[in-house]
Amino acid sequence: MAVMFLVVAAILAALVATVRILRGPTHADRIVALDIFLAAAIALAVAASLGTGRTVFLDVAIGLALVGFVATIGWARLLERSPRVRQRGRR
Amino acid sequence: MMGGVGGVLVLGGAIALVIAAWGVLILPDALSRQHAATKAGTLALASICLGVALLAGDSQWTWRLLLIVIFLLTTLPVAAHLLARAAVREAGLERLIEAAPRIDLDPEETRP
Amino acid sequence: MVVRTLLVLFLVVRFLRAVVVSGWQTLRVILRSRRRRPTMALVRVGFAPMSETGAALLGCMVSLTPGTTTIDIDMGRRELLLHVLDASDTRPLLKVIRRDFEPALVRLFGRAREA
Repeated sequence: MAVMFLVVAAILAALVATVRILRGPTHADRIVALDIFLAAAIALAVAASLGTGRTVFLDVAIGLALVGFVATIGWARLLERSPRVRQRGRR
Repeated sequence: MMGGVGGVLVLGGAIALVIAAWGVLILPDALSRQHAATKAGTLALASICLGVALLAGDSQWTWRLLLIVIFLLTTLPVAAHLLARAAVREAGLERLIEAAPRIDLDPEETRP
Repeated sequence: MVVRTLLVLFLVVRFLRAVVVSGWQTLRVILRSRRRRPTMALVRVGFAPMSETGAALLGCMVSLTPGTTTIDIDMGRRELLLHVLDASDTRPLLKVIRRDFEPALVRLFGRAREA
């Protein structure tokens, strides 16, 4: 029960975030949506380990948490250093 | 008992995750959306992890889940801060920031 | 030494509580935003003199207080630049920051370098 619910919620969240990635007027919006993607991925990994009863998937979730954080920082840095594109960011 | 509380935490976390994603979709600008993704998303994940730890009730699971929560909580403020800065820079809000009003509190207001 | 450990523990507990409260409030703002658009604001707040480490920690904790995110820390002017998600009640938020986090941080990292 809990596993099904988690999986459905994570997929729903990922779908909603996809809409924001496609639509997002600025790159910052897309990175934020990527954060939600990361959260959904971790939730899926936890759900997988709960469903199978094996802890390997929790290790996957730990790795995801670390790598996702580094990815967010990397994207943010890249965005901060990239040359300014005037008036494109505005809606 | 433990299983019941764990189940409630997992369900609540799952719902919170969907609400966080919803917030990323409907809040008006990147700075506000970043609030939704980092704060609400992290709370949702922490709730899910704690709930699963209670459901499993096994130390093999507990320390791994605690590790996930600790990673998320320590990295959350840094990610939020960097995202906010990137969003400000990209949207070209620097002038707004220069003009931001300074709010000071009276000394007696800050006393515990 | 004991005092420092206690202070750190105290800060950790405050931090955890702030995580839960801020997550909850953000969820509520999201759910309400259909009816009432959250009005955001940018605000500068002065903070007590402390070392750079202390200021960085304060910034991190501010990111977790309900409804605020640190955008920048201005060491020269000793100001935090905050983004407030729901600007209808800014002053109580700032009160929470200065009352809950600042005193302990000042005692841990206080006045290392007076500008």
